Amino acid sequence: MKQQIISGIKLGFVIAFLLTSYVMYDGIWGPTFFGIQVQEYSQPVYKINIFESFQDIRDPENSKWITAKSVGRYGSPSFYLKRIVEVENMSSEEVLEFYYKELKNKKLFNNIELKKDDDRILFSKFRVEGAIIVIKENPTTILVDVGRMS
Amino acid sequence: MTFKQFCNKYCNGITFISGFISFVLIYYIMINFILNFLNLFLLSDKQPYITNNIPMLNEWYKVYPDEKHELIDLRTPLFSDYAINSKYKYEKPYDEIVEEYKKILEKENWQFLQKGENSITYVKDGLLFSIIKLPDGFLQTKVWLKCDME
Repeated sequence: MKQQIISGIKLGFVIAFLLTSYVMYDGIWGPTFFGIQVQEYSQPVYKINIFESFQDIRDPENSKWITAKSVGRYGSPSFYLKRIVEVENMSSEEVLEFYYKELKNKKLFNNIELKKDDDRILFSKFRVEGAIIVIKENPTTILVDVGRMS
Repeated sequence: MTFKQFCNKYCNGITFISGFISFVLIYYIMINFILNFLNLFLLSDKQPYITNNIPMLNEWYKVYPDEKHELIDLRTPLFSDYAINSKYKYEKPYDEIVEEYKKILEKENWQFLQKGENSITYVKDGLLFSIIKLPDGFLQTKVWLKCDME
């Protein structure tokens, strides 16, 4: 039995070493190994679509980002990009109208729904969905959330 | 070692369980050790951007010509290349789009740094913004750290 446990520890060490080497190599040394292409670092297509939509939704002129982050686990298809934006000199209705026109005029999404009662705009297209939500008044602060659930 | 001996040594419950526990422990220790080592000794100058990468994402977002385009590829920061690389396909020719980029960069208080054969670089607050002409006619933008250039 002692021999079996020692064999297991050795096996675990080898697997952990190989996996760590792969993950670290992947992240640190980049896509080439002595000049030979071994990895491609592009994001998956659905993530590129999410980044594109995130950038295509333009904020009003008099606005600034409070925070931004991506939410998603490595290997999981669920991925979201979020930013919280503070807009000066515009009421929440005006801000929602601005974004609604922006989305409509640029035809960024197939389904765009302005829900004034809930202070939000919902939108979606193939592989991408999201919302623009008013989270605070005076100054108007909104959450822009673009992503994909699964 | 024959196949039968190999199976007896490694293919049993005790070896699998001890192997799994050993794998989890060693993997966790190695990953943490390497990441802490990188953070302390190799990435100290990038630390402010690793803990808070909002400025990079925000600048990537802001420098956006309002022209018809498609985001072809995107790479988020990695240890090997701490930058947001985007590859765009524009309908307008490269020179016209570069002029649009220059206008936006100057409006956003970026300062011209250098011009290469196929690239132009601007600088602002420790960040660099490069516009790169790719051989296939696409345009690449790169938001990266000034400390990576030095």
